[in-house]
Amino acid sequence: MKRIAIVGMPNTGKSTFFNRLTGSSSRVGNWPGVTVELLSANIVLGSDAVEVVDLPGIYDLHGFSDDEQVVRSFLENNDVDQVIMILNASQLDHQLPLALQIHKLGMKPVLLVNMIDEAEQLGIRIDAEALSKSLDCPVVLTSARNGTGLNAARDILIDSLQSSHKMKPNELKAFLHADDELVAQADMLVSQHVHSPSNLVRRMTERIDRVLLHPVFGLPLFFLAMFLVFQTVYTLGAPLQDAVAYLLDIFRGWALEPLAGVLPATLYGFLVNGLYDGIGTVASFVPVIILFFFLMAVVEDSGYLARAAYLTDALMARLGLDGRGFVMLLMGFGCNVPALMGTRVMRSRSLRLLSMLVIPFSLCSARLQVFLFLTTALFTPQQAPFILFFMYLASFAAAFLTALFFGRRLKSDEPFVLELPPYRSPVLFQVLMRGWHEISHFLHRASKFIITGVVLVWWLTHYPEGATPGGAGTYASMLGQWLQPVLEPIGISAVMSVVLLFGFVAKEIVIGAIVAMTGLEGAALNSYLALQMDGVQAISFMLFVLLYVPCLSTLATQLSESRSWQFTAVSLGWSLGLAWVVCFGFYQGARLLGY
Amino acid sequence: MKHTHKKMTDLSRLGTGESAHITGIHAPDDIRQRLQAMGLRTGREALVIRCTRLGPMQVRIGSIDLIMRRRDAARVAIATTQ
Repeated sequence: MKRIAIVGMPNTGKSTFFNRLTGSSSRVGNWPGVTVELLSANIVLGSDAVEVVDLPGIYDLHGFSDDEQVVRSFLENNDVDQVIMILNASQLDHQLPLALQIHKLGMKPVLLVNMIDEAEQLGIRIDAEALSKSLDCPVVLTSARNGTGLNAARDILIDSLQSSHKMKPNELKAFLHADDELVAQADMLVSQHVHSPSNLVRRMTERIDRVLLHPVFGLPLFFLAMFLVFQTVYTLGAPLQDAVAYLLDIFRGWALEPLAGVLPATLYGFLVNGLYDGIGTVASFVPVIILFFFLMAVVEDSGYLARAAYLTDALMARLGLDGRGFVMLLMGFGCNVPALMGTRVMRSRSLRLLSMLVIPFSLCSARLQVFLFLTTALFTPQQAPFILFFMYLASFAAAFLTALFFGRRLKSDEPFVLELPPYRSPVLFQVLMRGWHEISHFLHRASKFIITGVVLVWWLTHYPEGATPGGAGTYASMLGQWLQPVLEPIGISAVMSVVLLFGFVAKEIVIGAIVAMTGLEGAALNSYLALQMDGVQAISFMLFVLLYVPCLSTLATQLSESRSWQFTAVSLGWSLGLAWVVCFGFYQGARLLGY
Repeated sequence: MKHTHKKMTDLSRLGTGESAHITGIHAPDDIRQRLQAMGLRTGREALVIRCTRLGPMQVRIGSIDLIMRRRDAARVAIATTQ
């Protein structure tokens, strides 16, 4: 099988092109010499089966950030038949040096001068044919957003693969000193083949930035925007959630109950009240999650995240982090795992470690499910949004506290320099693809953990034989009793502590576990929960769920990204300790005050 | 007769709307490498689009807009023409 690697700088439309070329078949995988997972897909080009690998966006082939090292060692350790480099058409002066670096390595790239629509609007004209001759490699003008030039690019790839042979890059370090030469060469190429107006004015972007980056109103507008995103998720998500629950209920009544009715009572209880209701309750939250990821993809594609970094950097600097750290916290609201991976752009190890200590406190979508479920069950519709808002505040507070506490130990001199891309209207296709990647990832993880978790919880709460399901005498209650000395002072009952044990693996299990354990759903479940805990206990429980540990996947990612057991252990110990202390303070304090 | 003389300073001293030519970067190798790769190269003109007292600055170098902290801007030596 032949192999194509895609390289390019950030903000060039690299992943849009990758998605256009490969459709939805991509997957993450491991590669020789590379410690992180990369996105790849198998496609057919002409008569060849080709593996396309999307490498992280980088500014420089011999930089010192982890991303740059990943690209370097991938190219050094893996045979590649063809390198595609994506360039931003309106920044050729800035981007051609990287293309020349790759060319000089002996890997003749196919250059896709992308975002050509945007460049043309700015009045830039590029002579692709002449550029191709001067560079001695194919040059195609493309727009991955609207599909321009993609067929031509595909034809050229098929052509070049016909005559290709495995490339082995020349020694990478050998030409470190030749940089200035490459820049001069790039400048010459641009002056010869690119016609560009003397100053590029992006009127629309400048007009929007005058408002959104306003020294006084910028930050309030940012918080308003975030509030609107969550409000949208909440208001649009709730009816969708009800609809899914309704459909699952209909299926249960019409098909499942009559069919399963012939089974023995225990098996029926396991299948219907345990597995089906448990998984069903979790599934009813999937629309909310989908909506959330779609909106995150829209915000990400619009270019607003770089503005968020600009607006929050002054605050983050005081905590020893930078604006990028805040953006990663926001990404963490979706899922902590990709947010942790996003820290690879940081060069300084101590800044990376500090960011990775902070990210797990981001209230991710899995924890959001638990809070939505419990606030609806235990609080009035008027109270619920405030409790939820309080949880987001607690999430930020825990993150900031952690940064303050560890910041002195993990100082860095990392430069904070970030590209500010122009605003772009998000492309539906790209948003859907991004959303789809996130959702399939979520469903894969959720289904794996939830089914196992729900089965285990059901077994623990229904056995040994003869014990009252969910009551005293079951394995679950024994486990719970054993945890009581630690969890009783923070108001968590024996039954709920078993749920926490499973939440350690994944927060998606928590709700499924509560349902499977009780064999109840709907109003009956709500009143059961109200017996288990009052308002103060419920908030203490939620605070604990927020802080004690994100999930097994997050821990595993922390370990693989930091390559340090010690760091992972410190992170775990800190969050467990913080969770207990915060809940102890909250619970005992509230009780003292007479609540 | 009109006198023009060059004044050497650093990028963090510029205010909104002011521009200057970059004459060098004073930073350890790896940081210099990073700043250069992002477009802060000797000979290029840098124009300050936006700066506030506390937050980062927005600087335009040719076709690319960067946001950067003052601390990092102070590493970029410039020559202003007066």
